[in-house]
Amino acid sequence: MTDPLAAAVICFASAVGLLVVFIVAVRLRARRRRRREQALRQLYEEAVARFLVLEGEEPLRAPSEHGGAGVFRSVVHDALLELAGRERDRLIQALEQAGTVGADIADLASRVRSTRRRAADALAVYPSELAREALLRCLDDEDIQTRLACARALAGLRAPELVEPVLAVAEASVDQSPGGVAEVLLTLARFEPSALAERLGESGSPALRRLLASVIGELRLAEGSGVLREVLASDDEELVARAARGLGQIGDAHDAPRLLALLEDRLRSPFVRAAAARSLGLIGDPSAIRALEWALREEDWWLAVRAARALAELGELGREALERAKLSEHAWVRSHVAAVLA
Amino acid sequence: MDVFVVFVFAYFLVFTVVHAVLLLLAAIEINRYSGRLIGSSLRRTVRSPLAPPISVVVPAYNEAVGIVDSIRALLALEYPTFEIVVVNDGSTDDTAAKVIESFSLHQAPRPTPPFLPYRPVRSVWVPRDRLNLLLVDKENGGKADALNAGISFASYPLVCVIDADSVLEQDALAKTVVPFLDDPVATVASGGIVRVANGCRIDRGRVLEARLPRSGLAMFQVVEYLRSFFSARAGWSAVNGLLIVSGAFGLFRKDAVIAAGGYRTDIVGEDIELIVRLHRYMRDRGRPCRVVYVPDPVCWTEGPETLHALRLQRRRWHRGGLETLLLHWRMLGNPRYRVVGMLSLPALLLFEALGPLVELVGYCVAIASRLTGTIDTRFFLLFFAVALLFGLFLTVGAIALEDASFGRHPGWDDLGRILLFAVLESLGYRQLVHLWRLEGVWQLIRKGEWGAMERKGFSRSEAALQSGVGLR
Repeated sequence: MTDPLAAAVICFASAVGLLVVFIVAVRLRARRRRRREQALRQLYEEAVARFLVLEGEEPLRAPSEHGGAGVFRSVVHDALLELAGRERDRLIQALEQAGTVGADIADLASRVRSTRRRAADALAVYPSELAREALLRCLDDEDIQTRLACARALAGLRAPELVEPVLAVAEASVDQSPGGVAEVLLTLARFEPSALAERLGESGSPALRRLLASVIGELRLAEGSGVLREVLASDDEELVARAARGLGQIGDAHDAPRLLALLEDRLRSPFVRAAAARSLGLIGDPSAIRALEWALREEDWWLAVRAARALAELGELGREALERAKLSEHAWVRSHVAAVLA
Repeated sequence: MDVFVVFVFAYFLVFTVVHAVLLLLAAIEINRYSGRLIGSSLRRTVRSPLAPPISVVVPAYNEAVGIVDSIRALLALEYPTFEIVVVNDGSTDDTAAKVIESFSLHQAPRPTPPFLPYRPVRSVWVPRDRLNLLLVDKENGGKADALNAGISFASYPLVCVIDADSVLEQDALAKTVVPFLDDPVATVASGGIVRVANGCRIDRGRVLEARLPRSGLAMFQVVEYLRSFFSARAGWSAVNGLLIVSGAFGLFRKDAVIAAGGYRTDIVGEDIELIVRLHRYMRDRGRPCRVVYVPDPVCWTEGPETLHALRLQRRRWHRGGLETLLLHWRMLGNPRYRVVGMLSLPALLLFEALGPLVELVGYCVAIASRLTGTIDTRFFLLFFAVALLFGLFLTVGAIALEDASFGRHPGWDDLGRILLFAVLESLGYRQLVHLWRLEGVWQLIRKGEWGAMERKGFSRSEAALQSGVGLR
């Protein structure tokens, strides 16, 4: 019995020893890397700042220092997040000339998944036409995060012919990674908002359609209000609620009658009707007052809350309705009204 | 005797294999997390119009000392849209008055949301300006009751539960919300790491300098927390078998918590019980359920620095785990509940519930056998060496993981201290904790009362460290 125990002692002791050596080695390496990166970061930040301020008089050169590529990429990412328009385009051009984009394109063909993913993420931050073909090839990468990053990068190229392949990847990935798909749609929405509206109008993945409705609404894309109106007739309650919310965000008064009909439809679930109530308040159409007064008497908490808040946003007429509701025989109506009038 | 020795040996072998696998899974998971472009992902999250708004619920009982600073620090969190819902749980000091005065709140009539049961609300206070803060003043009902009230009053679809004396890092919300962005349908809860704040320089609710504690007792807790979070939790999260999100800092989907019935107010381990119940509730209805541990967002909280307070805490933690097992025993070995039913809960029973008993009895039998000459000195020493080295292996593995990924304690003297206490842990402290855990079992059997943890300074709350089931 002691021999297995002795073997176990030797095994554990060796494992502990190896781990301690590993910790020491990692720390030493991390310290060296940190010192080097701090120095390089300062160097590259100055270079990027000079490039931007001197308007191209001083070209941006590719990092040649050992370990500089990662730091340079990080500095450029930080800068691109703060830039827009011509400045951003200039910096991306400079990256192409410096070979950074070329290096990322080459990395897209790497056998190492994390390298491909990192390269795709980088190209999504500085989308470049040079990378178009490589990105299109990577749309069927085995790694979903790489596929979505490539889709995001392609969406950033603002080319109408790229919308279909991007949306195809989005549709195929929405169940596995809705968050990643949402980022793709947000990127696409900035450059091709009508493409999103068109896709929403077609039948397809319910999850994708819901995301499309949310993106159109949150970004207040007026191009999408037509299709959001159509979608109000859908059987998908979640989709209808998001579309109703989106119409409120867009704020077109012509949508009030449809939202009113939704609010009054007692066959719809309370959360759909609550979304309609909220949107009617945002739009500010006084024709909704009567329906909102009725909704205030509903027993569903959020529907009553939304109705009360919507009335509070409808000016003098809305406040008069709330004053009338103060005399309601239902205690919950009185308490919602009191909360809103306070 | 031989049978018993074989049993203990087999038990430790199984324990070793399971925890070594968890450590490996944790390494893969943390490496995967670190490998993502976390920096740019976070920035995108913080700027995204689709980032879900969050209600931060802060239950407070006699927190007058630090509540204002805590709220100020929370209001400065870096996240696009969030609100703070402070629930004053019938404090006997002037917690509510301090909040009202400091933030110029006025009383507002608010209907009492009917979503979860909680003790009556006395008043609701809102700011005069656009400050995203709400104070709910209610009758005392305990932490779970206060959380139920806060969740009911929350306006947003995600609820962050935090203790009043916990200190969140500024990007904690942004990091913890990522699993909900990745998979908003299946994800019901996520949590970050809780670190021991003893010894840190803290001012106005912010950690200015992270330092290791001076006291030995707090150092042992640092070691335990490193092992628990960087090994067990990360490992279980990798296979969607996580049973607990820390009561000091956790993010939940409000609709799922309300549908499952909220926190139970009649047990002590309400945090672990809620997670297990969420798994059960969702799986019973054929819905996916994902509980995620995010290894990076940090919540700092103060650990007990007296043996008495630590003893009370560990008794309660162990009792909480056992209560959860008793309440959900039908999930054990049930394939409907997948990894949670087939692996996590059996592991909780085998290693957390029975572990202290097996280990302590093993020590006693080994000592008795040596004294009676049944076993020789060599066997006796080897037995204890295995016990010590095995615990050390897990701890040093977790330290290595933490060092390689986040490296919050970069100093060599810090490393030296942590390793020293990792060794010393098995020379008395661990055995003492096991004894206290057995006291928790005894309490459960007797259903006796336990004392409240003492409070001092930057106010400690025993519930703030109620993350501990799973600590070894």
